[in-house]
Amino acid sequence: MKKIKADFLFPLIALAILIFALSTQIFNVPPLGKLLNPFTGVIQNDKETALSAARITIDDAGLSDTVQVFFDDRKVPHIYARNTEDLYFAQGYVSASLRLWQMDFLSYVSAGRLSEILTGSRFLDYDRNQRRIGIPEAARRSLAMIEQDSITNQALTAYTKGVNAYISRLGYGDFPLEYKLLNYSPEPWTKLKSVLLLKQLGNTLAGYEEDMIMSELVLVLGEETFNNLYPDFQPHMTPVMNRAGQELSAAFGPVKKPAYLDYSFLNASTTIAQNQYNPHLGSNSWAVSGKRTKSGFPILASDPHLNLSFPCVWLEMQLSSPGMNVYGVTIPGTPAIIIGFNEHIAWGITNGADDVKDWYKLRVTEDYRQYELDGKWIPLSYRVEKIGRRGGKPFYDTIYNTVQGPVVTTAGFSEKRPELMNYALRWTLHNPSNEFRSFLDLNRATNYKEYAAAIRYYACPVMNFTFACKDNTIAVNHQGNLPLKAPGQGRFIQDGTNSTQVYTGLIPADSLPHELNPADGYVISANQHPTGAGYRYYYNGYYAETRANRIKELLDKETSLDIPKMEKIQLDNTNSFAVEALPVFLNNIDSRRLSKPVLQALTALSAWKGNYDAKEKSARLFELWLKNIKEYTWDELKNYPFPLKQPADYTLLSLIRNDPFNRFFDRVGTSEKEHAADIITTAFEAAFFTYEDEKKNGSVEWSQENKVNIMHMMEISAFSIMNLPSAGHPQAINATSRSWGPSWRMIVELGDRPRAYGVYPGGQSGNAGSRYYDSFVTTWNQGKYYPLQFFLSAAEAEKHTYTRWVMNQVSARKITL
Amino acid sequence: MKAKKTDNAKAAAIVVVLTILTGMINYLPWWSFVVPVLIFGITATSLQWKISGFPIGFLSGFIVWFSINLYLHMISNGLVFNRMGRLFSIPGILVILVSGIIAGLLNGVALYTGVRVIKINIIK
Repeated sequence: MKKIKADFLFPLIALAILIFALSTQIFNVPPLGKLLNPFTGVIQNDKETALSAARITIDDAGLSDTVQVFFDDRKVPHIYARNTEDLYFAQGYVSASLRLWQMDFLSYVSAGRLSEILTGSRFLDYDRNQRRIGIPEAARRSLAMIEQDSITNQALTAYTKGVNAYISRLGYGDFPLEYKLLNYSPEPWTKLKSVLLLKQLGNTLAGYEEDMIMSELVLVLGEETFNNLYPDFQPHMTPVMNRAGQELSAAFGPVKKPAYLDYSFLNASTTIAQNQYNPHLGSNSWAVSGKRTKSGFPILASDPHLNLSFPCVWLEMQLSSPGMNVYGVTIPGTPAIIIGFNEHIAWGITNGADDVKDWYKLRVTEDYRQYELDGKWIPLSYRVEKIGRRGGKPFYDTIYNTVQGPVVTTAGFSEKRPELMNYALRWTLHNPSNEFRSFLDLNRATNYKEYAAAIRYYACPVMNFTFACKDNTIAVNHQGNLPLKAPGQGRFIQDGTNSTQVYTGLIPADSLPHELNPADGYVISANQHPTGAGYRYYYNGYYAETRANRIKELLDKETSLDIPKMEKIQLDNTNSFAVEALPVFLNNIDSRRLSKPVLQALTALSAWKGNYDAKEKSARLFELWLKNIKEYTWDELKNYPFPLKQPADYTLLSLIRNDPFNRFFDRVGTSEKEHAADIITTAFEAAFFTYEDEKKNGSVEWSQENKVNIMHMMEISAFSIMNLPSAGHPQAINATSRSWGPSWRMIVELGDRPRAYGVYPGGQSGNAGSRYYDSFVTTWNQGKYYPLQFFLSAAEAEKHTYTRWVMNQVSARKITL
Repeated sequence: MKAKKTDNAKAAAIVVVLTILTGMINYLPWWSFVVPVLIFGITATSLQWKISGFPIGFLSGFIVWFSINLYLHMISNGLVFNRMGRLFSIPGILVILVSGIIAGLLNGVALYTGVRVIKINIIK
């Protein structure tokens, strides 16, 4: 006799609870059952089938013709298509197969949608801020403009279809690891996502500004001291154009404090938040014409410095279709090659570093219905943005907009930048633009004319494009939307009640700084000033001069450059500021006051050449010394209730040289009246003792101080490489520092066939379970390069590679249906 | 009811096969194997097999997940479990052990549940 019993209910419930618990993320523990099952869990990400098989056929891909993708030994894809649409389709497919999570996640970051996948109020704050500074809105408006341009729209549409063709083939087992860990699924790719990625790059590169601090500083210091400490121009410059220098134009000269700017205007009772943007994200790129090279052909070098991350921001590939054959790096999620070369030309980019972001102080009614402009109260427009939240109800945020731009900090959202309560943000990033078109056209450009036409489309962030053509034309262009400003405008907070302060024009494209075939046979861009002070139009920015100065010095020495010499320049660890400053410090130090061991250390340091090599021991001592000198000199500025903004190092150097009795050298809190020599001497003594302590506790070799972290984008340390001892310094050409540095080093010599070398800190695969996830890091860290395999034909690619993907068109049966 | 060794051995083999086969159907949820295992528990009882439900389920589940994960870990790159281990500050091999325990627990409870659904009164 059989009888159903009830006591199985308890274990059944226990089973259901177990399944639920193992399928759910509990606090920081990911859904373990789902992750660790051997059939679709994380172990499925531990293989390389697609990258190591001899041949993979992808049928019904959605193409109009067959596309072949050859992977070389470093797993760089070489894509061969028979028409443009198929090419970008395949680029989308291949990019997604290598880096899907990265590109998808970045689109969430840019769109302010992190709350949809991550829980925690800090992500909601992040999302609200991202929307309030206007990134997703700018992307939507840019997309509308891009869709009007048939060439870009065609490429972007094909790319999007390619990404989606890949996504549609994925089952849970194929999902990139991060989806499994965070327990969500990839969503379909859209054209908007691609645009969002470029806007996020703009946000990173053109997001820094210091209007509030400068406004406070000009008030507390007065116009004269302010201009002495924070001048627009330094004498130590190698500008992008007109390196010989010019007289001061009417646009420049001492900055005037705007009449409206006083304490009652600013009324900044709240503390100023630390700026989240890194003004040091820089880059180097230079080109030399054949008259300075051994081969007689031009050579171009480019190394953009960005945050170092896993997966790397760049993905290497070759794109080939009729009329085009280009190699370089792309940003996964966007079509075309961003930095690279073809058979005719090579190009590089560096951040323009201009100030294109300004704040306007508004007068707004308490209910946010109106704001004042030219004495009239006009309605404040607004839109409501919906922010989805994982496991919760959506959040609706109201974003107000003025003629100047969006109001970021309001009564309902004041955590991020409390000092900017009811200020409007004016930012060229908000303008619709189509940067894709520049890159699409650049990829197929064959001469200077086509290059110049291509970069005309480029708007934001402002970039320096360096260019070299096989015919020995070289050029550099400071390209993008530079607002037409009144002298001094944009350095301080603007008066939002006055419409005359709203700049609307742009510096005419023909007048943007550029240089074509200069007599000395080279062009340089390294985030330095784009022009000398003789330039007609006012602009300001956050420029860095030391790297450009050093590049010029090294190029001037050589008339017979070749690739090894260019590599040496790109890896140069010398800080030209240190080279200039050390003798000045040594001349000013009062060595009679130093004890014997301190004096010995000083003598040893005096032989130092300003190099930050891995094994170098003097660099650390100099760093400590400089840090102390700066702290002792600018101690007055620390007393102000806003974050310290030290004047530029070159300003300090000029002061020591020309005005050693300046009041800033007198230290706060001492009865004596110190001057430069006192500061320099005590700074060295203090540095010596710290240095000796460090020596006792470990090593003072520079690489032990300069340890690089290549962090996973989600800051998962198990997916990161931490504390990598490195040579380099932010002010050296090899600008390797703790969290950012050369994110792609490329050197190209044009000629009958381009010869190119490159490396980046990462690997082609975004999969942390792949051998190709971090395979380039050691080579990068050792300062070595890979030869880049640029194939002239599919047959050549086939001969030199092992793995091939054959992507077939839609089957005939499907078409007739 | 005392378990019989032969019944236990047969049951373990069947549960291993069921766990693998269900696991290989990729579009099913990851935990689907517990359903056939539970049903097998019911069937076995109705066939008057005498099985130690939890231990046999646990053992079979453990063997399947642990050995397949270990095998794939050995023949592939062997990177993922080590990274997962770093996530929880344990060695990679422990992560594989944890996977075995998870499948063991699920199958153990599933088989135990199945075995207890029907009570057979054997009237002599």
